[in-house]
Amino acid sequence: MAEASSSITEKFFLTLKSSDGDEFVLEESIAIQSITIKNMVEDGCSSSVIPLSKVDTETLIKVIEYMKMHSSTSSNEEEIENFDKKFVSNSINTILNILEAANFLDINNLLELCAEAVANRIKNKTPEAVRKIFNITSDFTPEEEAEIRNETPWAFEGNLDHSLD
Amino acid sequence: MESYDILFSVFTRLPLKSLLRFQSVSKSWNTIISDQPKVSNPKKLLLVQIDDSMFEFRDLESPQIVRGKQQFPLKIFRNPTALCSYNSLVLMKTHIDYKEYALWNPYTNECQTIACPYLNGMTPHGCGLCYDPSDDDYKVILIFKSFYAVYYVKRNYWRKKTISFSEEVRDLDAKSCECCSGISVDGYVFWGFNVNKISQLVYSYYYRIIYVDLKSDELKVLPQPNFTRDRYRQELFRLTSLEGRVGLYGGNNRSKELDVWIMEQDEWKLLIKINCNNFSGYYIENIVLLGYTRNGDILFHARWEVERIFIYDPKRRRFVKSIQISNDSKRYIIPICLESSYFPKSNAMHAQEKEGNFIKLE
Repeated sequence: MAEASSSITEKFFLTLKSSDGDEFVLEESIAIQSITIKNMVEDGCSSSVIPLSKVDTETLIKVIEYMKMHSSTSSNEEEIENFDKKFVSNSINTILNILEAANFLDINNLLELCAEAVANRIKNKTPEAVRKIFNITSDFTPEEEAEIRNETPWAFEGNLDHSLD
Repeated sequence: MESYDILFSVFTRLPLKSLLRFQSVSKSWNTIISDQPKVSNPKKLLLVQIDDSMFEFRDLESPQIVRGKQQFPLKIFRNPTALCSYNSLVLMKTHIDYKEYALWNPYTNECQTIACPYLNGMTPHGCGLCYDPSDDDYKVILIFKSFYAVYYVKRNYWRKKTISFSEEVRDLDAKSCECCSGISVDGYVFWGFNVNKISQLVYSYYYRIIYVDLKSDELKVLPQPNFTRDRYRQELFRLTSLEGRVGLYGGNNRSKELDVWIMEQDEWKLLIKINCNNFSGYYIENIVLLGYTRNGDILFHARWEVERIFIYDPKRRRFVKSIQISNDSKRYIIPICLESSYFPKSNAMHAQEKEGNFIKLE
Protein backbone atom coordinates (compact mmCIF):
# COMPACT_ATOMS: atom_id res chain seq x y z
CA MET A 1 0.00 0.00 0.00
CA ALA A 2 2.76 2.42 1.00
CA GLU A 3 4.73 1.36 -2.03
CA ALA A 4 1.82 2.00 -4.39
CA SER A 5 1.18 5.49 -3.08
CA SER A 6 4.83 6.45 -3.24
CA SER A 7 5.05 5.39 -6.89
CA ILE A 8 2.17 7.70 -7.71
CA THR A 9 3.69 10.77 -6.08
CA GLU A 10 7.34 10.16 -6.89
CA LYS A 11 8.49 11.68 -10.19
CA PHE A 12 11.00 9.91 -12.37
CA PHE A 13 13.25 11.87 -14.67
CA LEU A 14 14.97 10.93 -17.90
CA THR A 15 17.86 12.58 -19.66
CA LEU A 16 17.63 12.95 -23.44
CA LYS A 17 20.75 13.76 -25.43
CA SER A 18 20.51 15.45 -28.84
CA SER A 19 22.80 14.72 -31.80
CA ASP A 20 24.63 17.98 -30.96
CA GLY A 21 25.46 16.60 -27.52
CA ASP A 22 23.08 18.78 -25.48
CA GLU A 23 21.29 17.07 -22.60
CA PHE A 24 17.69 17.70 -21.52
CA VAL A 25 16.11 16.43 -18.31
CA LEU A 26 12.45 15.56 -18.61
CA GLU A 27 9.81 13.89 -16.46
CA GLU A 28 9.38 10.27 -17.50
CA SER A 29 5.58 10.62 -17.62
CA ILE A 30 5.98 13.33 -20.27
CA ALA A 31 8.74 11.64 -22.26
CA ILE A 32 6.88 8.35 -22.68
CA GLN A 33 4.49 10.01 -25.13
CA SER A 34 7.27 8.85 -27.42
CA ILE A 35 6.69 5.12 -27.95
CA THR A 36 10.39 4.73 -28.79
CA ILE A 37 11.37 6.18 -25.39
CA LYS A 38 8.59 4.25 -23.63
CA ASN A 39 9.96 0.98 -25.03
CA MET A 40 13.46 1.90 -23.90
CA VAL A 41 12.19 2.66 -20.39
CA GLU A 42 10.31 -0.65 -20.27
CA ASP A 43 13.42 -2.50 -21.45
CA GLY A 44 15.35 -0.88 -18.61
CA CYS A 45 17.68 1.22 -20.80
CA SER A 46 16.71 4.50 -19.17
CA SER A 47 19.01 4.51 -16.13
CA SER A 48 21.62 6.46 -18.01
CA VAL A 49 21.31 9.14 -20.70
CA ILE A 50 19.11 8.32 -23.73
CA PRO A 51 21.02 9.30 -26.88
CA LEU A 52 18.86 10.56 -29.75
CA SER A 53 21.39 10.49 -32.56
CA LYS A 54 18.87 11.49 -35.21
CA VAL A 55 17.45 14.59 -33.47
CA ASP A 56 19.39 17.87 -33.31
CA THR A 57 19.11 20.32 -30.43
CA GLU A 58 16.81 22.82 -32.16
CA THR A 59 14.37 20.09 -33.10
CA LEU A 60 14.52 18.35 -29.72
CA ILE A 61 13.64 21.62 -27.94
CA LYS A 62 10.51 21.88 -30.10
CA VAL A 63 9.57 18.25 -29.52
CA ILE A 64 9.94 18.63 -25.75
CA GLU A 65 7.85 21.82 -25.85
CA TYR A 66 5.16 19.85 -27.65
CA MET A 67 5.27 16.89 -25.25
CA LYS A 68 5.06 19.18 -22.20
CA MET A 69 2.01 20.95 -23.59
CA HIS A 70 0.32 17.65 -24.51
CA SER A 71 1.06 15.79 -21.28
CA SER A 72 -2.27 14.83 -19.81
CA THR A 73 -2.94 17.01 -16.75
CA SER A 74 -1.34 20.40 -17.20
CA SER A 75 -3.16 21.86 -20.21
CA ASN A 76 -6.75 22.37 -21.26
CA GLU A 77 -8.16 21.76 -24.74
CA GLU A 78 -8.21 25.36 -25.86
CA GLU A 79 -4.61 25.94 -24.79
CA ILE A 80 -3.52 22.86 -26.70
CA GLU A 81 -5.40 23.95 -29.80
CA ASN A 82 -3.79 27.40 -29.73
CA PHE A 83 -0.38 25.89 -29.08
CA ASP A 84 -0.73 23.52 -32.05
CA LYS A 85 -1.76 26.38 -34.32
CA LYS A 86 1.28 28.38 -33.34
CA PHE A 87 3.50 25.31 -33.48
CA VAL A 88 2.80 24.63 -37.16
CA SER A 89 3.55 28.25 -38.09
CA ASN A 90 7.27 27.43 -37.81
CA SER A 91 9.22 27.39 -41.07
CA ILE A 92 8.51 24.44 -43.31
CA ASN A 93 12.05 23.14 -42.89
CA THR A 94 11.68 23.17 -39.11
CA ILE A 95 8.39 21.29 -39.42
CA LEU A 96 9.99 18.73 -41.72
CA ASN A 97 12.74 18.18 -39.12
CA ILE A 98 10.13 17.78 -36.37
CA LEU A 99 8.15 15.41 -38.59
CA GLU A 100 11.23 13.27 -39.04
CA ALA A 101 11.90 13.32 -35.29
CA ALA A 102 8.25 12.46 -34.55
CA ASN A 103 8.55 9.49 -36.90
CA PHE A 104 11.78 8.31 -35.22
CA LEU A 105 10.46 8.90 -31.69
CA ASP A 106 7.06 7.45 -32.62
CA ILE A 107 4.88 10.27 -31.31
CA ASN A 108 1.75 9.73 -33.32
CA ASN A 109 -0.10 13.00 -32.53
CA LEU A 110 2.93 15.07 -33.41
CA LEU A 111 3.49 13.13 -36.61
CA GLU A 112 -0.11 13.74 -37.67
CA LEU A 113 0.05 17.41 -36.79
CA CYS A 114 3.25 17.96 -38.79
CA ALA A 115 2.19 15.82 -41.76
CA GLU A 116 -1.05 17.80 -42.00
CA ALA A 117 0.90 21.06 -41.74
CA VAL A 118 3.38 20.06 -44.45
CA ALA A 119 0.53 18.91 -46.73
CA ASN A 120 -1.26 22.24 -46.22
CA ARG A 121 1.87 24.22 -46.91
CA ILE A 122 2.89 22.41 -50.10
CA LYS A 123 -0.47 21.53 -51.66
CA ASN A 124 -0.61 24.59 -53.92
CA LYS A 125 3.09 24.69 -54.71
CA THR A 126 4.77 24.11 -58.04
CA PRO A 127 6.90 20.97 -58.44
CA GLU A 128 9.96 23.27 -58.69
CA ALA A 129 9.25 24.85 -55.29
CA VAL A 130 8.66 21.41 -53.76
CA ARG A 131 12.01 20.19 -55.09
CA LYS A 132 13.81 23.10 -53.44
CA ILE A 133 12.01 22.59 -50.10
CA PHE A 134 12.75 18.86 -50.04
CA ASN A 135 16.21 19.38 -51.52
CA ILE A 136 15.52 17.11 -54.49
CA THR A 137 17.20 17.25 -57.89
CA SER A 138 14.89 16.06 -60.65
CA ASP A 139 16.04 12.81 -62.21
CA PHE A 140 13.59 13.04 -65.10
CA THR A 141 14.66 13.88 -68.62
CA PRO A 142 12.77 16.91 -69.98
CA GLU A 143 10.79 14.54 -72.22
CA GLU A 144 9.78 12.31 -69.32
CA GLU A 145 8.69 15.30 -67.26
CA ALA A 146 6.69 16.74 -70.16
CA GLU A 147 4.95 13.40 -70.58
CA ILE A 148 3.84 13.32 -66.93
CA ARG A 149 2.62 16.92 -67.16
CA ASN A 150 0.64 16.16 -70.30
CA GLU A 151 -1.21 13.29 -68.65
CA THR A 152 -3.04 15.70 -66.33
CA PRO A 153 -2.52 19.25 -67.55
CA TRP A 154 -5.36 20.49 -65.32
CA ALA A 155 -3.28 19.62 -62.24
CA PHE A 156 -0.82 22.36 -63.27
CA GLU A 157 -3.46 25.02 -63.86
CA GLY A 158 -4.66 27.71 -61.48
CA ASN A 159 -2.83 29.96 -59.03
CA LEU A 160 0.21 27.94 -58.04
CA ASP A 161 2.49 28.98 -55.22
CA HIS A 162 6.18 29.48 -56.08
CA SER A 163 7.34 30.45 -52.59
CA LEU A 164 9.71 28.27 -50.59
CA ASP A 165 7.96 28.44 -47.23
CA MET B 1 16.52 12.63 -47.27
CA GLU B 2 13.02 12.14 -45.91
CA SER B 3 12.09 8.52 -45.51
CA TYR B 4 9.27 6.75 -47.27
CA ASP B 5 7.16 6.78 -44.08
CA ILE B 6 7.34 10.55 -43.82
CA LEU B 7 6.53 11.21 -47.46
CA PHE B 8 3.71 8.72 -47.22
CA SER B 9 2.22 10.46 -44.17
CA VAL B 10 2.23 13.74 -46.10
CA PHE B 11 0.95 12.28 -49.38
CA THR B 12 -2.11 10.71 -47.77
CA ARG B 13 -3.14 14.22 -46.70
CA LEU B 14 -2.78 15.87 -50.08
CA PRO B 15 -5.61 16.48 -52.50
CA LEU B 16 -5.63 14.64 -55.80
CA LYS B 17 -4.63 17.67 -57.81
CA SER B 18 -1.45 18.24 -55.78
CA LEU B 19 -0.47 14.59 -55.94
CA LEU B 20 -0.82 14.50 -59.70
CA ARG B 21 1.32 17.62 -59.96
CA PHE B 22 3.97 16.22 -57.60
CA GLN B 23 4.40 13.10 -59.69
CA SER B 24 6.72 15.28 -61.75
CA VAL B 25 8.97 16.13 -58.77
CA SER B 26 11.21 13.07 -59.12
CA LYS B 27 11.17 9.41 -60.07
CA SER B 28 10.91 8.23 -56.48
CA TRP B 29 7.99 10.59 -55.75
CA ASN B 30 6.33 9.43 -58.95
CA THR B 31 6.67 5.81 -57.86
CA ILE B 32 5.32 6.40 -54.34
CA ILE B 33 2.37 8.41 -55.63
CA SER B 34 1.55 5.96 -58.42
CA ASP B 35 1.68 3.08 -55.95
CA GLN B 36 -0.81 4.64 -53.61
CA PRO B 37 -3.91 2.55 -54.47
CA LYS B 38 -2.57 0.30 -51.72
CA VAL B 39 -3.60 2.91 -49.16
CA SER B 40 -6.25 1.14 -47.15
CA ASN B 41 -7.91 4.20 -45.71
CA PRO B 42 -8.41 6.83 -48.38
CA LYS B 43 -9.40 10.29 -47.40
CA LYS B 44 -13.09 10.91 -47.17
CA LEU B 45 -14.54 14.13 -48.39
CA LEU B 46 -17.95 15.68 -48.33
CA LEU B 47 -19.47 17.23 -51.39
CA VAL B 48 -21.87 19.96 -50.41
CA GLN B 49 -24.19 21.61 -52.87
CA ILE B 50 -24.24 25.30 -52.07
CA ASP B 51 -25.93 26.75 -55.10
CA ASP B 52 -27.76 25.60 -58.23
CA SER B 53 -24.66 24.10 -59.74
CA MET B 54 -21.93 25.08 -57.27
CA PHE B 55 -20.43 22.47 -54.98
CA GLU B 56 -17.82 22.72 -52.26
CA PHE B 57 -15.49 20.12 -50.81
CA ARG B 58 -15.11 19.61 -47.13
CA ASP B 59 -12.81 17.24 -45.36
CA LEU B 60 -14.23 14.67 -42.97
CA GLU B 61 -11.30 15.41 -40.62
CA SER B 62 -12.07 19.13 -40.35
CA PRO B 63 -15.50 19.79 -41.87
CA GLN B 64 -15.53 23.44 -40.81
CA ILE B 65 -13.00 24.25 -43.53
CA VAL B 66 -14.03 24.56 -47.17
CA ARG B 67 -11.32 22.81 -49.16
CA GLY B 68 -12.33 23.95 -52.58
CA LYS B 69 -15.19 24.66 -54.89
CA GLN B 70 -16.29 23.22 -58.16
CA GLN B 71 -18.97 24.22 -60.61
CA PHE B 72 -20.89 21.36 -62.15
CA PRO B 73 -20.01 21.83 -65.83
CA LEU B 74 -23.17 20.82 -67.67
CA LYS B 75 -25.29 23.92 -68.15
CA ILE B 76 -28.26 21.90 -69.45
CA PHE B 77 -28.51 20.15 -66.06
CA ARG B 78 -30.42 22.84 -64.30
CA ASN B 79 -30.45 22.49 -60.50
CA PRO B 80 -28.71 19.12 -60.55
CA THR B 81 -28.91 16.64 -57.68
CA ALA B 82 -26.13 14.30 -56.62
CA LEU B 83 -27.76 10.88 -56.31
CA CYS B 84 -24.88 8.72 -55.14
CA SER B 85 -21.14 8.42 -55.38
CA TYR B 86 -18.38 5.88 -55.54
CA ASN B 87 -14.67 6.61 -55.34
CA SER B 88 -14.35 9.95 -57.03
CA LEU B 89 -17.36 9.57 -59.32
CA VAL B 90 -20.76 11.09 -58.64
CA LEU B 91 -24.01 10.21 -60.36
CA MET B 92 -25.95 13.37 -61.14
CA LYS B 93 -29.53 13.92 -62.14
CA THR B 94 -31.50 16.91 -63.30
CA HIS B 95 -35.08 17.54 -62.27
CA ILE B 96 -36.12 18.72 -65.70
CA ASP B 97 -35.29 15.57 -67.61
CA TYR B 98 -36.14 12.00 -66.63
CA LYS B 99 -33.82 10.35 -69.09
CA GLU B 100 -30.54 12.12 -68.61
CA TYR B 101 -28.00 11.24 -65.96
CA ALA B 102 -24.42 12.36 -65.72
CA LEU B 103 -21.28 10.79 -64.29
CA TRP B 104 -19.08 13.47 -62.82
CA ASN B 105 -15.66 13.56 -61.26
CA PRO B 106 -15.70 16.76 -59.19
CA TYR B 107 -11.90 16.84 -58.86
CA THR B 108 -11.09 16.74 -62.53
CA ASN B 109 -14.45 18.21 -63.56
CA GLU B 110 -14.71 15.56 -66.24
CA CYS B 111 -18.25 14.67 -67.08
CA GLN B 112 -20.17 12.23 -69.23
CA THR B 113 -23.90 12.13 -69.80
CA ILE B 114 -25.80 8.88 -70.02
CA ALA B 115 -29.38 8.46 -71.09
CA CYS B 116 -31.47 5.68 -69.61
CA PRO B 117 -33.46 4.17 -72.48
CA TYR B 118 -36.15 2.50 -70.37
CA LEU B 119 -38.45 4.99 -68.88
CA ASN B 120 -41.72 6.67 -69.00
CA GLY B 121 -41.40 9.61 -66.72
CA MET B 122 -40.37 7.68 -63.65
CA THR B 123 -37.91 8.59 -60.96
CA PRO B 124 -36.02 5.50 -59.81
CA HIS B 125 -36.67 4.26 -56.26
CA GLY B 126 -33.04 3.47 -55.87
CA CYS B 127 -29.79 4.14 -57.62
CA GLY B 128 -26.27 2.90 -57.19
CA LEU B 129 -22.81 3.48 -58.53
CA CYS B 130 -20.13 0.87 -58.11
CA TYR B 131 -16.92 -0.57 -59.44
CA ASP B 132 -16.66 -4.19 -60.46
CA PRO B 133 -12.99 -5.23 -60.29
CA SER B 134 -13.57 -8.52 -62.11
CA ASP B 135 -14.84 -6.55 -65.07
CA ASP B 136 -12.66 -3.48 -64.47
CA ASP B 137 -15.72 -1.38 -65.11
CA TYR B 138 -18.01 1.03 -63.31
CA LYS B 139 -21.71 0.20 -63.20
CA VAL B 140 -24.73 2.40 -62.69
CA ILE B 141 -27.80 0.65 -61.25
CA LEU B 142 -31.28 2.17 -61.35
CA ILE B 143 -34.18 0.43 -59.59
CA PHE B 144 -37.71 1.06 -60.82
CA LYS B 145 -41.03 -0.44 -59.81
CA SER B 146 -40.98 -3.69 -61.74
CA PHE B 147 -37.52 -3.75 -63.24
CA TYR B 148 -34.03 -2.48 -62.72
CA ALA B 149 -31.40 -1.35 -65.17
CA VAL B 150 -27.64 -1.80 -65.13
CA TYR B 151 -25.42 0.48 -67.17
CA TYR B 152 -21.88 -0.70 -67.92
CA VAL B 153 -19.89 2.50 -68.18
CA LYS B 154 -16.89 1.31 -70.16
CA ARG B 155 -18.93 -0.70 -72.60
CA ASN B 156 -21.58 2.03 -72.83
CA TYR B 157 -24.27 -0.62 -72.61
CA TRP B 158 -27.61 -0.88 -70.79
CA ARG B 159 -29.23 -4.03 -69.54
CA LYS B 160 -32.79 -4.27 -68.29
CA LYS B 161 -33.68 -6.94 -65.74
CA THR B 162 -37.00 -7.84 -64.18
CA ILE B 163 -37.41 -7.85 -60.43
CA SER B 164 -38.42 -11.23 -59.07
CA PHE B 165 -39.92 -9.84 -55.88
CA SER B 166 -42.10 -7.13 -57.36
CA GLU B 167 -44.41 -7.12 -54.37
CA GLU B 168 -41.65 -5.67 -52.21
CA VAL B 169 -40.82 -2.89 -54.58
CA ARG B 170 -44.44 -1.88 -54.80
CA ASP B 171 -44.30 -1.49 -51.04
CA LEU B 172 -41.24 0.67 -51.29
CA ASP B 173 -43.12 2.85 -53.70
CA ALA B 174 -45.66 3.75 -51.06
CA LYS B 175 -43.05 5.02 -48.69
CA SER B 176 -41.11 7.67 -50.45
CA CYS B 177 -40.71 9.55 -53.66
CA GLU B 178 -37.06 10.14 -52.92
CA CYS B 179 -34.41 8.11 -54.70
CA CYS B 180 -32.51 5.87 -52.28
CA SER B 181 -28.73 5.95 -52.65
CA GLY B 182 -27.09 2.55 -52.79
CA ILE B 183 -24.19 1.70 -50.48
CA SER B 184 -21.38 0.07 -52.47
CA VAL B 185 -19.24 -2.28 -50.44
CA ASP B 186 -16.91 -4.99 -51.61
CA GLY B 187 -18.71 -6.25 -54.71
CA TYR B 188 -22.24 -5.56 -53.49
CA VAL B 189 -24.60 -2.59 -53.57
CA PHE B 190 -27.18 -2.31 -50.78
CA TRP B 191 -30.36 -0.30 -50.45
CA GLY B 192 -32.56 -0.05 -47.40
CA PHE B 193 -36.18 1.05 -47.12
CA ASN B 194 -38.39 1.72 -44.14
CA VAL B 195 -41.68 0.16 -45.19
CA ASN B 196 -44.92 1.21 -43.58
CA LYS B 197 -48.06 -0.28 -45.06
CA ILE B 198 -51.59 -1.32 -44.31
CA SER B 199 -52.80 -4.38 -46.13
CA GLN B 200 -56.14 -6.09 -45.38
CA LEU B 201 -56.41 -4.01 -42.23
CA VAL B 202 -53.10 -5.34 -40.97
CA TYR B 203 -50.58 -2.70 -40.25
CA SER B 204 -46.99 -3.69 -40.94
CA TYR B 205 -43.84 -1.85 -40.40
CA TYR B 206 -40.40 -3.15 -41.27
CA TYR B 207 -37.01 -2.44 -42.75
CA ARG B 208 -36.27 -4.05 -46.10
CA ILE B 209 -32.73 -4.37 -47.43
CA ILE B 210 -32.17 -5.35 -51.04
CA TYR B 211 -28.83 -5.78 -52.77
CA VAL B 212 -27.15 -6.45 -56.08
CA ASP B 213 -24.31 -8.94 -56.27
CA LEU B 214 -21.99 -7.50 -58.90
CA LYS B 215 -20.84 -10.95 -60.02
CA SER B 216 -24.28 -11.78 -61.35
CA ASP B 217 -25.95 -8.35 -61.28
CA GLU B 218 -28.95 -10.07 -59.65
CA LEU B 219 -31.14 -8.03 -57.34
CA LYS B 220 -32.00 -9.96 -54.18
CA VAL B 221 -33.60 -9.46 -50.78
CA LEU B 222 -31.34 -9.61 -47.75
CA PRO B 223 -32.76 -11.59 -44.80
CA GLN B 224 -34.28 -9.09 -42.42
CA PRO B 225 -31.99 -8.29 -39.48
CA ASN B 226 -33.52 -9.58 -36.22
CA PHE B 227 -33.33 -6.27 -34.49
CA THR B 228 -35.50 -4.60 -37.12
CA ARG B 229 -38.36 -7.04 -36.64
CA ASP B 230 -40.15 -5.47 -33.70
CA ARG B 231 -43.02 -3.71 -35.39
CA TYR B 232 -44.33 -2.16 -32.18
CA ARG B 233 -41.18 -0.22 -31.52
CA GLN B 234 -41.59 1.76 -34.72
CA GLU B 235 -37.91 2.11 -35.30
CA LEU B 236 -36.44 3.71 -38.37
CA PHE B 237 -33.21 2.56 -39.95
CA ARG B 238 -30.69 3.73 -42.47
CA LEU B 239 -27.76 2.12 -44.25
CA THR B 240 -24.30 3.58 -44.44
CA SER B 241 -20.80 2.56 -45.34
CA LEU B 242 -18.44 2.23 -42.37
CA GLU B 243 -14.77 1.36 -42.58
CA GLY B 244 -15.29 -0.36 -45.91
CA ARG B 245 -18.24 -2.42 -44.66
CA VAL B 246 -21.96 -1.95 -44.71
CA GLY B 247 -23.38 -0.36 -41.59
CA LEU B 248 -26.94 0.01 -40.36
CA TYR B 249 -28.14 2.47 -37.77
CA GLY B 250 -31.44 3.38 -36.26
CA GLY B 251 -33.69 3.58 -33.30
CA ASN B 252 -36.97 5.18 -32.44
CA ASN B 253 -37.47 8.83 -31.72
CA ARG B 254 -38.30 8.31 -28.07
CA SER B 255 -35.45 6.04 -27.06
CA LYS B 256 -32.77 8.78 -27.23
CA GLU B 257 -30.40 6.18 -28.40
CA LEU B 258 -29.07 5.43 -31.84
CA ASP B 259 -27.77 1.92 -32.37
CA VAL B 260 -25.13 1.30 -35.03
CA TRP B 261 -24.55 -2.18 -36.45
CA ILE B 262 -21.93 -3.35 -38.87
CA MET B 263 -21.99 -6.41 -41.10
CA GLU B 264 -19.26 -8.90 -40.36
CA GLN B 265 -19.16 -12.26 -42.12
CA ASP B 266 -22.83 -12.00 -43.10
CA GLU B 267 -23.91 -11.18 -39.57
CA TRP B 268 -24.93 -7.90 -38.02
CA LYS B 269 -22.89 -6.93 -35.00
CA LEU B 270 -23.82 -4.09 -32.69
CA LEU B 271 -20.96 -1.64 -32.99
CA ILE B 272 -21.96 1.19 -30.69
CA LYS B 273 -24.90 2.75 -28.89
CA ILE B 274 -24.94 6.48 -29.36
CA ASN B 275 -26.39 8.69 -26.68
CA CYS B 276 -28.67 11.11 -28.53
CA ASN B 277 -29.87 13.24 -25.65
CA ASN B 278 -28.72 16.47 -27.20
CA PHE B 279 -30.07 15.33 -30.52
CA SER B 280 -33.65 15.55 -29.33
CA GLY B 281 -36.02 17.00 -31.85
CA TYR B 282 -34.37 15.08 -34.64
CA TYR B 283 -35.87 12.26 -36.52
CA ILE B 284 -33.69 9.39 -37.54
CA GLU B 285 -34.48 9.94 -41.20
CA ASN B 286 -32.90 13.38 -40.97
CA ILE B 287 -29.66 12.11 -39.54
CA VAL B 288 -26.99 10.79 -41.87
CA LEU B 289 -24.03 8.92 -40.48
CA LEU B 290 -21.08 10.08 -42.56
CA GLY B 291 -18.33 7.94 -41.10
CA TYR B 292 -15.35 7.83 -38.78
CA THR B 293 -12.57 10.37 -38.59
CA ARG B 294 -8.98 9.24 -38.11
CA ASN B 295 -9.10 9.73 -34.36
CA GLY B 296 -12.25 7.64 -33.99
CA ASP B 297 -14.91 10.34 -33.78
CA ILE B 298 -18.17 9.74 -35.65
CA LEU B 299 -19.58 12.39 -37.95
CA PHE B 300 -23.28 12.97 -38.56
CA HIS B 301 -25.03 15.28 -40.91
CA ALA B 302 -28.36 16.60 -39.73
CA ARG B 303 -30.94 19.12 -40.84
CA TRP B 304 -32.38 21.21 -38.10
CA GLU B 305 -33.34 24.70 -39.20
CA VAL B 306 -29.91 24.86 -40.78
CA GLU B 307 -27.57 22.24 -42.19
CA ARG B 308 -25.14 21.00 -39.57
CA ILE B 309 -22.46 18.44 -39.03
CA PHE B 310 -22.23 16.89 -35.59
CA ILE B 311 -19.17 15.20 -34.19
CA TYR B 312 -19.63 12.39 -31.65
CA ASP B 313 -16.80 11.27 -29.42
CA PRO B 314 -17.37 7.59 -28.51
CA LYS B 315 -14.83 7.72 -25.68
CA ARG B 316 -16.67 10.52 -23.90
CA ARG B 317 -20.03 9.20 -25.08
CA ARG B 318 -21.29 12.57 -26.20
CA PHE B 319 -21.53 14.98 -29.09
CA VAL B 320 -18.57 17.30 -28.84
CA LYS B 321 -19.01 19.71 -31.72
CA SER B 322 -21.64 21.11 -34.02
CA ILE B 323 -20.63 22.78 -37.26
CA GLN B 324 -23.02 24.84 -39.30
CA ILE B 325 -22.52 24.27 -43.01
CA SER B 326 -25.28 26.42 -44.38
CA ASN B 327 -27.59 29.00 -42.83
CA ASP B 328 -30.14 28.57 -45.58
CA SER B 329 -32.69 26.03 -44.46
CA LYS B 330 -34.54 26.13 -47.75
CA ARG B 331 -31.66 25.08 -49.89
CA TYR B 332 -31.29 21.35 -49.77
CA ILE B 333 -27.70 20.37 -49.27
CA ILE B 334 -26.59 16.90 -50.20
CA PRO B 335 -23.63 15.53 -48.33
CA ILE B 336 -21.93 12.72 -50.11
CA CYS B 337 -18.90 10.85 -48.93
CA LEU B 338 -16.32 10.77 -51.63
CA GLU B 339 -13.20 8.75 -51.35
CA SER B 340 -10.69 10.87 -53.08
CA SER B 341 -9.15 8.93 -55.89
CA TYR B 342 -5.48 9.74 -55.62
CA PHE B 343 -4.64 7.50 -58.51
CA PRO B 344 -6.55 8.32 -61.61
CA LYS B 345 -4.35 6.07 -63.72
CA SER B 346 -5.76 3.03 -62.01
CA ASN B 347 -9.36 4.08 -62.14
CA ALA B 348 -11.76 3.78 -64.99
CA MET B 349 -12.05 7.51 -65.45
CA HIS B 350 -8.78 7.57 -67.29
CA ALA B 351 -9.32 4.38 -69.18
CA GLN B 352 -12.42 6.13 -70.40
CA GLU B 353 -10.56 9.19 -71.36
CA LYS B 354 -8.25 7.22 -73.63
CA GLU B 355 -11.20 5.70 -75.40
CA GLY B 356 -12.55 9.15 -75.95
CA ASN B 357 -15.88 8.62 -74.22
CA PHE B 358 -15.36 11.31 -71.65
CA ILE B 359 -15.69 14.86 -72.62
CA LYS B 360 -13.37 17.18 -70.82
CA LEU B 361 -15.03 20.47 -70.15
CA GLU B 362 -13.36 23.75 -69.35
